[in-house]
Amino acid sequence: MSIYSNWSSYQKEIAEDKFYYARSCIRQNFFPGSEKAFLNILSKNLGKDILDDPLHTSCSGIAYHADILPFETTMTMVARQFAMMTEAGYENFVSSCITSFGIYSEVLETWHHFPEKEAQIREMLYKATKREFKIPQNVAHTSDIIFKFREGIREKGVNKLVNIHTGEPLKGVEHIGCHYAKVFPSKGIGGSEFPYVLAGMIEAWGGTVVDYPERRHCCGFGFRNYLVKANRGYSVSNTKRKLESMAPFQPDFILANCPGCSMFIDKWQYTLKQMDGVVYGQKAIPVLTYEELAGLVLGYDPWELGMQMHEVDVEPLLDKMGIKYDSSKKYEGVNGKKIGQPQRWEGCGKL
Amino acid sequence: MYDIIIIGGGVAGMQAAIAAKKLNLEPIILEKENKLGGKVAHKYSLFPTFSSAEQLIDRLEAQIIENKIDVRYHCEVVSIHKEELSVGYTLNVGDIKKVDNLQARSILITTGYEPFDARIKQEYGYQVYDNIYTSMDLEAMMKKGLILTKEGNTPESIAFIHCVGSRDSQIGNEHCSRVCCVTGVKQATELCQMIKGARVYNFYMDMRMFGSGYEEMYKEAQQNYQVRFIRGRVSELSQTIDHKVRLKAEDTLISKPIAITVDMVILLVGMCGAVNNESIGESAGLELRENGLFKPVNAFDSTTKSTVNGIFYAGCAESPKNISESMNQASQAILNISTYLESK
Repeated sequence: MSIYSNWSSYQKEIAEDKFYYARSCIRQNFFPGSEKAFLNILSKNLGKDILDDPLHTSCSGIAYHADILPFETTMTMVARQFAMMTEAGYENFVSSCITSFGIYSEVLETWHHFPEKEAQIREMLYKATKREFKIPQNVAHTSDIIFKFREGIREKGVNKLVNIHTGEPLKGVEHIGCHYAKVFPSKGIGGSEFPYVLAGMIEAWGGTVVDYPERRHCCGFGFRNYLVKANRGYSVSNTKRKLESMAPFQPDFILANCPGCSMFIDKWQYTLKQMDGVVYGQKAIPVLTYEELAGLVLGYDPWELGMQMHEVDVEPLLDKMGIKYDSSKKYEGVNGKKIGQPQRWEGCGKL
Repeated sequence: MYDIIIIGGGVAGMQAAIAAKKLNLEPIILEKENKLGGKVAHKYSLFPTFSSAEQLIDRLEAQIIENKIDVRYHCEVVSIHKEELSVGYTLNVGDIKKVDNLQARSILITTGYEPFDARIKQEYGYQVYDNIYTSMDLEAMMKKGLILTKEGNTPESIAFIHCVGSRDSQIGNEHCSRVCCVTGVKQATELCQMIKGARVYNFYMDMRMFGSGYEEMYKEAQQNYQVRFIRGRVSELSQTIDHKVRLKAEDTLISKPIAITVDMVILLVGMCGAVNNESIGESAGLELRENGLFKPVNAFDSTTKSTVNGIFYAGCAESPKNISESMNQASQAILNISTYLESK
């Protein structure tokens, strides 16, 4: 037996083209430029066919994990998503949200083991909507797609994850969402123990990955931790544990593939400054989505990518990469309208 | 023609050869290394007496010389021809490889075991992170009398992880290697003796103290040396920026997750079949267990007999054993071989 033979079970098949895109409920508020960037990167930079269908809905994952909806309701909503995909003539389903990706995987796994459940849901969907569906040929998370095309992005890229002042690779912390590979390890690249989906991007684009003790620890977001206000301290303490562990390695950025992780590792840095007076890193550590990072490599304008919405300023990272940006336009919306500025602190704006 | 070819010159093979001579049989030992003693020769001390491993090998070797027993070194056996009871082997001397064949009236397989390759349990970071060693590595360090971290410091805190490569369905090794538990107790005690004030932790699933004197060792390790035994599997190891090892586990007796940082981690690696067991087994039509060790005719009164006439087993080649069990089985195997040869 080869000592790495078990690695084969961590591989994943990802479709080449013709994707049906399902947006996230929360990402458009948290990181509003990321989903648009994904669509642009796929269709304009990589020439892929991807459908951004306005007819699809929430997968109901938040309600499911908050114990508000029964699983049958969630399965029926997922069935409707698949019906939308089938009617549009697509077979490869791409989810922008990690929790949705976990939900789709869980529903398909349930139907695989309990075909009678699938039959029941098909009947319920038909009674409610007169719709029918085909099981997708391929289900992937958007980070899987960027991972698959990471070499193509590097070839078309104009920027690298290299510090232009020192010539050294930039140090990236990668943080994998729990619902990506901890629910069904075989559905994620590298499984739950050696997830490679984000590390592969960082390495392909010239950076190095920081291996720190709490690398696999949850960010602490957790719907129950966040939705129940009294539990938010638990969420903060988990992020604090990660930040404390990674800070000595002096990472240049954090890369996450979960809407909740990206949001909270970014925002909790401000919270922790207010609670403990601690700033991790020289000026806090910028947190990026993989679409934002791919966009920067491809030469997208940082403000077009929505990076002004981050709690922690991304300018130190942009400066290291040698990316030009117009500070005066940071807080301008699409029509030049001022969108407001966050409170200044060590991690954001000049004090 | 020799009466018995003994494949493997570990403690079982040596004991078998000595016993054979006492019954006026003519044995020959084929040993792949340049010295006798097998895995025991690489050990610093033996449980439960803490006596020297080297002294045991010296005693056995003296009897091998005294009895004028033939030993061929550098012989790596790769096949057995069961019809004519001959052994195919490669003589490895330096870069020169010579293929040869040897026939006898019977064959005794005492190939011992191969330590589990700890790199397979990737979450334990062996050969990825600094200051993570196996129990075999630690024995070698103890033999040299130098217990040092990679940075050259004496470790103040050491954690042992039990059942690495044993009782683990994730990697397909369901079997218990039996002696790792007591090895962990022995090595923990010795580290406490060698390093004053050392904090030593043992993360275990069960403590299987099956041998005479083992339970007493376990008790002494706790009472006299304050070795901390924590029931729980370690989920992963990682490196801190100052090259210490961060360890995460669950203490299943108090149902709490724990994380500690130590200077050194020792992985108590289990036993797997010797490298050539598969080719030997296939060539001779011998049945292997799932763990790669040889399966005897039955588990009670014929543990030394294979399903092929004239081929016998002893020691860890058949199943995980401690030294005394291996040597006793070797003597038993010779008795069975003697009976077999008389009946021919």
